Amino acid sequence: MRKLFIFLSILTIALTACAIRSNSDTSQVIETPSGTAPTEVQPTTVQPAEDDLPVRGGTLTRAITSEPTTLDPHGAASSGQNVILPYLLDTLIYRDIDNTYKPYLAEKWTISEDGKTITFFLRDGVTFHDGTPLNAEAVRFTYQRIMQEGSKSPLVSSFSNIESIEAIGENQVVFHLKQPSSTLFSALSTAYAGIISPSAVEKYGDSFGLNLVGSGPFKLENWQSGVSISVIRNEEYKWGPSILKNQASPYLERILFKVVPDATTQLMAFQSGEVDVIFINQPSQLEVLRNDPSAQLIETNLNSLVYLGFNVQAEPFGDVRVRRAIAHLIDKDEIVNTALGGIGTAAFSPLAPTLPGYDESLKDEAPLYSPEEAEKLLLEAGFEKGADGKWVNKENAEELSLEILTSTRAPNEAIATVIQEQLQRAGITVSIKLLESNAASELAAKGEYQTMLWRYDWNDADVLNVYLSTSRIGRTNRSFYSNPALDEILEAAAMEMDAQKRNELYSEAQKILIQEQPWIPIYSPKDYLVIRNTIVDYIVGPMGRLVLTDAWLKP
Amino acid sequence: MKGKTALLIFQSLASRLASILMASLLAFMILESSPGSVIDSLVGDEASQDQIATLERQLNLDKPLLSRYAEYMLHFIQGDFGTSLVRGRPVVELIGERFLNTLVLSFLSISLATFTGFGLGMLSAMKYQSWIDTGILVAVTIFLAVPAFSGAILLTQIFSINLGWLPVVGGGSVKHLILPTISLTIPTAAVISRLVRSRMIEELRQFYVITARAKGLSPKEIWQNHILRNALVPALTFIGIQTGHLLGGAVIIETLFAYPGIGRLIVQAVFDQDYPVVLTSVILIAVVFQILNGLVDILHRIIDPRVGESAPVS
Repeated sequence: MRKLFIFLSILTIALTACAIRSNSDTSQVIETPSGTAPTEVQPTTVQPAEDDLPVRGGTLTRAITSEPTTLDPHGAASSGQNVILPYLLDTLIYRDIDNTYKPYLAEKWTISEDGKTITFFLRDGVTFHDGTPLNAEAVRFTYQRIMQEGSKSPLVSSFSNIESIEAIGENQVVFHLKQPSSTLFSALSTAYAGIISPSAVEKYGDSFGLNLVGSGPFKLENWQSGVSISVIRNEEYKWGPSILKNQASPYLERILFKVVPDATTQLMAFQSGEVDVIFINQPSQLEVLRNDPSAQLIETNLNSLVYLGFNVQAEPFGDVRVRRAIAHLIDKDEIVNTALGGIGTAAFSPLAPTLPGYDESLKDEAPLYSPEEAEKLLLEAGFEKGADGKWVNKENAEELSLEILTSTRAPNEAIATVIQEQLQRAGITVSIKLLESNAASELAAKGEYQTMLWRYDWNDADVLNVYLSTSRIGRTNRSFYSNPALDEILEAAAMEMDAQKRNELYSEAQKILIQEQPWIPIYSPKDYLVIRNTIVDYIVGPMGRLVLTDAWLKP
Repeated sequence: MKGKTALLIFQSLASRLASILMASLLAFMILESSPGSVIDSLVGDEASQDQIATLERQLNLDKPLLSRYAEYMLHFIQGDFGTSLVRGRPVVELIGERFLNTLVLSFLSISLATFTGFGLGMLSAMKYQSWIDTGILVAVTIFLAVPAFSGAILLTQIFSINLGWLPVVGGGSVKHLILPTISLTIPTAAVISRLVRSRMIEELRQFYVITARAKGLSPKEIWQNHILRNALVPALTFIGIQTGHLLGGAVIIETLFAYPGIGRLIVQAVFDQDYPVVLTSVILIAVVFQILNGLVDILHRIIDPRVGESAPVS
């Protein structure tokens, strides 16, 4: 026995010793310059570089919460994939922070008179990482792959309006549409519409998702399952979007994406210097980083909204007066301040404030927090307050109560709890049903719920069409809300190519939805991008996309 | 006698095999009867009915539940573990390295826990009711009360952020193993030391100890040959079960340290309802668990010959 103990103690000591040694070889010292105040940069700005010349080289490490299941842009989508793809793939057009489209792989484009034919003119001399040319045929191939049977691409429904795609010569791609479409551009600017190498698809077959070949500023270098994915500079690169200062290969040599599922661990990894870029949305973390001189905090524009959606088929929520009454009882500012620690903005419109078409002037028409107003509406709708202070339906003596269905994803539970508290204060009993997100989705899709606390992340105002138009009932319209007047407006907006007229249509749509409240908009979430202060000249695009072609590391 | 032993071995193997099979069937049924579907993980909200139907056909999800299970198990026996529905990669490829990582982490921490647990437990028992015993008791109680994850965060704060000695996240090197190992070791070692201590104190009060002393055995001989031997049995049982838990249940620690183990993979696969990954992992863990407990049984017989002869010792 003693021999065993001695053996084990030696083993332990040896292990510890070699661990400490291997650590001291590679440990890096992170210098934190003194006297630099933590900076909070507005989303549109490019961090100025103090007239310094960019330095080439270095690795930037970024934390991702979930490991992509595949890198194939037409495979199962995941948040990790969405972060990595923009560095590996180029798209035809680039969406700027002001939601305008800039030339990228397409130098220019024309739209026919009837809006049904769109022609993209590709720039010359673009090659994939495997050396093959990126031409019109490669673009056609990529999009055909999205449209083929069994595709898992998130763009399938956006592309359903495409009749055919034609490649003319080396650099003309023509889209023939069934109807004019104002939403196609936003679809084409996402990383899921990035152009992939046809010869690599053929070469790798089923394992293309592990060996993605695109034309982007970085190439896939290494994928260590469960740990990290690294991408390395594409030396040939000279076809970045027109907004970039650097029209050559990136200054950074490598980007390393580390899989770190836990938010607390991400913060600790930033503090220890192991990662340079993280996303945070917890108030306590924000406090910590505000006092960290090595962190630049950037508020990102997410195009997201959290709302309480009604199932209008579940009585009594088919009655607009009941829906409005509940809207009057929810104090959104209180939700933002207590459940979210102030990170987020109380919302009144079903469109996220950063989406084109959002109409701030409608704020006065929205039901504000007012228990008196709510009481009036409920009395009108045939309810009365019982002796115990609960609202009861006069006809069938049923108590007014509701269930909130939501997923376990933070901070849903906290928000639902505040809503519960607010409604119960007014005499409406609320129960909360918390489920894992796939399970919650399934119940919602079947309509087996009364209200759901949900969130969308969508980069176009067409989101209203997707979630609230009659034609999507049984699919994405989980509210079973149907309003022919709204359908007409949304359909027209989806085909309207003139931005001004389109915005007017969406303003109409918002007016109706604010009136009818099939959704009670709660707040628009905010995330903070945290970037180490040694990194300069990066660009933050819509939905927190971090463009790093211009970026470099201060030595 | 030989025939009897062979029969016993056969019985034990058969029951272990049956429990592995039951575990896999149970895992499959629970997974498939829970709400949601793998399709939700493959395509987003806006998937059309056509798109969903095509995928269901491609993935054989339109077939009845039990026939899918039977088909999967038939392939499994032939060494074909299938392909992940969500990741489109062979399950072996996905699980292989990660399972190895988890094995390393679990065995390292269970060995360390056994070593320190026994050390502390014996020391407490030998110095029963002295200040050493009290000190160890207080320390062990604290370690038992602190949840693994908060202990882990504290360790990271000290060793990674303040001292900068060890990395916070990742895997693949010895450095990356240290913090997760210690975090897993502490609570396990605490339990083992409690078990060993109480069992030893109990043994000390037995009459055979007095008899042994009367026989003229030295205290050292009594400790080594009698008390330690008897205290080993319950501790071994616990260690066998605990290792099984560590294999599948180290998820919290794996998530916290972003350690590429199998726990995280299983949790993700359960959320995705990716049954080939879940089933293969469950079977793998069940097999290792059964092997370990088989070993524990054999060790029992060696340590305590009475075990084989009469009714099994609990």
